[in-house]
Amino acid sequence: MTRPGLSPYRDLVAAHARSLFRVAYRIVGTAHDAEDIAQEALFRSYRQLSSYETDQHFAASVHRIASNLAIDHVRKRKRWKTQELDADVAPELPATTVDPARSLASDEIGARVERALDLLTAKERAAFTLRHYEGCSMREIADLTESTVNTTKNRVFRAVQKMRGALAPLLENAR
Amino acid sequence: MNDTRDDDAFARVLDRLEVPEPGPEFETRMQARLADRIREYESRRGWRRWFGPAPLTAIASVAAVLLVGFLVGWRLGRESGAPEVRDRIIFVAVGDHLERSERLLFEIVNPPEDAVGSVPASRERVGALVTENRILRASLGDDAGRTSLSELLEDLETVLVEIANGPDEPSPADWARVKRRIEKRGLLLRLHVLDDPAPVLPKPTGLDRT
Repeated sequence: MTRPGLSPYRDLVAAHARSLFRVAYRIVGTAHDAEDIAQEALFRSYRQLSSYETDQHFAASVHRIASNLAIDHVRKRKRWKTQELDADVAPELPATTVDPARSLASDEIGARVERALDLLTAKERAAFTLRHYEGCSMREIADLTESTVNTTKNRVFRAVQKMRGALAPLLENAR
Repeated sequence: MNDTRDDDAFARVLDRLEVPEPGPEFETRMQARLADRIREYESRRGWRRWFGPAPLTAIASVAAVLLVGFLVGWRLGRESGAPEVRDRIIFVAVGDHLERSERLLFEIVNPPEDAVGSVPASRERVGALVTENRILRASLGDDAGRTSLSELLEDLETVLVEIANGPDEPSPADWARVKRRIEKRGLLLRLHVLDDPAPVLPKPTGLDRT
């Protein structure tokens, strides 16, 4: 049972599925997980469908759910990776030097950016990717991640510092 | 100047992280996966709903039919001594109740292929049938005697209550048990035969007076 100001659920899925996938992907970094998160967010929003008044209300809520699911996913993955690192004798660490020939390859740079993003905390990563890739305002990010604007600003700032440090070798080449 | 150049370089590097295209069928795939989960969710919610009150509309409609039956019977009985009109009205309600009960039990015994193990009915639906069944049994009362109709209503109520008091998320074993009980009591066949209860009704008491 939906409200007059709310489109049919099927239309809402069609309208937001791709955007949710993109947001989730920016935070978790894998297509398979991003698709699962988009689906889970849409499913959870279905269970609350009667509480939404308008399409905008639905959109804000389902994106918030997806962001939080993605943040939780990154947290779990980090815990899992930490355990794995503890168990492994010789873990493979991110390369710190740049092969100039390969650095031009987009996928290689993308992979390095992805590894740099892994250095961020889950909430830093979410704040950073929503700011940089999705063009969200600090207020929007604060709403999506259920934080204050000041906390969000600090997270974005710390994330930028970490990313700059991690990508410094690539930045030299990009100038 | 250097800061701006740094920012540009930083942005260019970050933009190399592309989001893969999920494919043209993405929305369709998402709709299909969600449809499966929603179906399962609604089924489970149906079980949970059975514990609550049945919809007032369903109960009210049966009560209204019975009330009309009694009022008409009372009025006609005073005028012409023909309480069978009242009984006829009650039996219409009984026939409708038996038909709906038969549909529910049929769905449990013969679920559609894509819904094996899922719940075929909502809590409201089963709750309404239990309540109707009780009202009808009380209305027929001693008039019905030990007819096949009253026995059927008793057996039907036992099974309906068992379904209504089932677990929140019934397992295939739970369904198998309900199904066995329906089959053991031959409920589907008896419901089918008695969809029109008129032939097995006890003789209306009013006829004795004529």
